[in-house]
Amino acid sequence: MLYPEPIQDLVGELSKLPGVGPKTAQRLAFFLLNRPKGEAEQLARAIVEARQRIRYCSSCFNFTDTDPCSLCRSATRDKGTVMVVEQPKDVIAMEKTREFKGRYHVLHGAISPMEGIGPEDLKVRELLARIGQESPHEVVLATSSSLEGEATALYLGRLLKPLGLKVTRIARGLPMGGDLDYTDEMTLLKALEGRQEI
Amino acid sequence: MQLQRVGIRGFRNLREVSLEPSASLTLLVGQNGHGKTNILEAVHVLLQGQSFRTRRDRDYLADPGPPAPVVLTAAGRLGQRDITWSYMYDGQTRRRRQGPIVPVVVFSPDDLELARGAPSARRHLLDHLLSGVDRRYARSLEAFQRAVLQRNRALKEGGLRDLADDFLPAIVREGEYVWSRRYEVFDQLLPSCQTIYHAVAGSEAVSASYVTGGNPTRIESPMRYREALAARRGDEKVRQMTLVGPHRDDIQFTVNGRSIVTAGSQGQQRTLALAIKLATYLWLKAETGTVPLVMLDDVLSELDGIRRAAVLRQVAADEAQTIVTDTEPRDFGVLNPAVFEVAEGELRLWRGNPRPLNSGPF
Repeated sequence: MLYPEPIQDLVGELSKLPGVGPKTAQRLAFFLLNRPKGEAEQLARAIVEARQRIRYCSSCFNFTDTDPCSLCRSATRDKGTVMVVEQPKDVIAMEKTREFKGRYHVLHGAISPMEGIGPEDLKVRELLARIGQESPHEVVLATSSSLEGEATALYLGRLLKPLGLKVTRIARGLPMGGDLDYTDEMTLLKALEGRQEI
Repeated sequence: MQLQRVGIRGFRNLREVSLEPSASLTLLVGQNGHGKTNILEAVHVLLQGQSFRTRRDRDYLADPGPPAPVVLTAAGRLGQRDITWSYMYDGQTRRRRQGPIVPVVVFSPDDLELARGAPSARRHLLDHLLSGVDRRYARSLEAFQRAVLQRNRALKEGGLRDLADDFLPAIVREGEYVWSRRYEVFDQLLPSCQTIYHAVAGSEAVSASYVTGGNPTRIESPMRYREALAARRGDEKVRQMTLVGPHRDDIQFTVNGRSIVTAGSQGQQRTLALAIKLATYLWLKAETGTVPLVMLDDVLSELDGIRRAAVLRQVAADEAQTIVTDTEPRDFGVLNPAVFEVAEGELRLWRGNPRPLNSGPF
């Protein structure tokens, strides 16, 4: 037996979400149907609201509801340092450290020829334009340590070095609280290469 | 390693099978398509965590019939310890519990590919052996293959060509490690492979050399890898692919200067495949310190008496617990196998002719 059409539609839409299969979509749909009416409406409103009000910051391309975003407007952030990350969630992660005082630039992805993703599909041209305008003294490459993140960092390094500014790559190594004997060789090797005098 | 009991439920055509294999030789007899290989496969899934026939757990589900969970269990001894293995799959999630991965060597008719097939069959054997004992190898190989795919795609797409070299550091780093381990294993396997080949083939001697992908000599440092890549730069532009690397390796086997793979007789190819597999058995035994479980799937009927004796002398008569499938029982003499019959997915003690007609060398 098939569900009534509205339920089928809801399940169909939910199962398009990442990490949600048909079974989970069904569970979520019935959950929503069993809650008070107001809750479902609140969720629907939140989705529409977010979709309408959130856009890219014209400077750093992070998600924002005001343009430029609060980080780019902030007078206390150092204009001289720009950190390049792959995703908006990387900005949140880095902000949690409360250590980085510069600004960000979100690429929205990493170079991956297999998926047809090149620099044109990322916010690279925008990064170059921004560097031309703001002339920071340092660009920190904080793309992930995956194969694609590494290649993206190498590419950006090649692109930015000739501009005469300082280009750095965040270090890789041991996680805090990590045991040496549980760490894989590649990570240990990188940690050893990046050792510092104390 | 000693396997003492195996329980199989709902695995392919096996509804409910319980097997107590002999400590030395166990013979599963039955017609084709009745489930002999499925029993070997279930044992492989338990001890190795994966099948030798498929990568999808879904394939294990019994069809036809209502979906029923696959439940596999085994008990045995590893050194002084009692061990149990279990595996469950209900069509959605799989659970594998307890029990270490233990070495298993499977001989199947497909192994002939080692001696007459494409280079990938021989690379695959080395990768399989190394991935089983070296986790970094498995990771490096995967990273290397992905980096080559990315770079090749970049070389093919006009607009992305500029990015090809950004994948080189990963290719060089991982590829160099893959080579270092493959060279090492090849050098360790070769002497026993030659000894076994000679023992089986009598007068003939086999020699072998490791052919490094895209380079006339072995590449043993990142610097040499970079040089070799630089030397083929022009070619790579034209052919739009990465031409130097472990992904193009091969092993060349020759007898009297002639390649067995391209010019060998059927007999030479069979002997070679056998010698390679027996050499991997010895290598695993030495490398892991555990005697591998040996499974011969449907190969005895394809071997003549001399080769059959060579296999059994090396494994069952050595110390390996061995499980053999065959379409008819053979006389194994002193090895005194436990014989079971597999018919329509059921297992029972062999009740056929107590004196098998087909007499072999044992």
